[in-house]
Amino acid sequence: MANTAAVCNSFKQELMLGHHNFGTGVTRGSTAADTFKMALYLATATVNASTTAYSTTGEVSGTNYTAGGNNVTNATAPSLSGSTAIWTPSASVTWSNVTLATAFDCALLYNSTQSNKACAVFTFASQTVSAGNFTLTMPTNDASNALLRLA
Amino acid sequence: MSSIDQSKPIVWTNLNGGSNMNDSDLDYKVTWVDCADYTQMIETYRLKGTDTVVRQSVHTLCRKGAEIGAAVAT
Repeated sequence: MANTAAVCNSFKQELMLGHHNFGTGVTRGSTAADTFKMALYLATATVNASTTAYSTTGEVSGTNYTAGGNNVTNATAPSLSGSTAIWTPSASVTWSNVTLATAFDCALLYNSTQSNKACAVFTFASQTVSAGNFTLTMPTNDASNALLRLA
Repeated sequence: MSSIDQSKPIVWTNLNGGSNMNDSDLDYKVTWVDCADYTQMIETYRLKGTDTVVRQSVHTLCRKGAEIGAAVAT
């Protein structure tokens, strides 16, 4: 037998599950999963890895779009795929019958339970929508494609 | 513009603040954007024979999410 330095695979998954807290200041009110949301941002906005929380600055606006975006369906808990911790929403996120007349190209995933803290930014081709739907369909929930991966 | 024939297929549009039109009065076009990380399908309805967009929907398939610690393309 030999020992091998590593970040434990179980730890990666447990980070996503909120089991570890190396700091102070976070209070978890219950054992329930947090509520995550997605908001859409204009192509002219500046949303990136430095974004720390949801903001209305640069967010799209228009008919039938509510500031803050839509809830993300979270019926599948984080899991391990090999040595990679993965999580993907369990359903598409859809804005129905919206008019978003100014071009947008970005969605921010954030945690509305924990002070709207930012999680990840996803970009796509700049688009407008008129009296139609905007749908974000989620990737395959595996080690190569999941929406969030901790390898 | 002809009046709506309720016996034929109708499409919700942005005209007059939101109203139905007969599908036969519209031109329909689908375009695709295909990248490594996503694929987008854009459905556009225009008034027949014009460039006036009266309805546009966008469907985005996120093919690959974000990896924590991975380099970000710039």
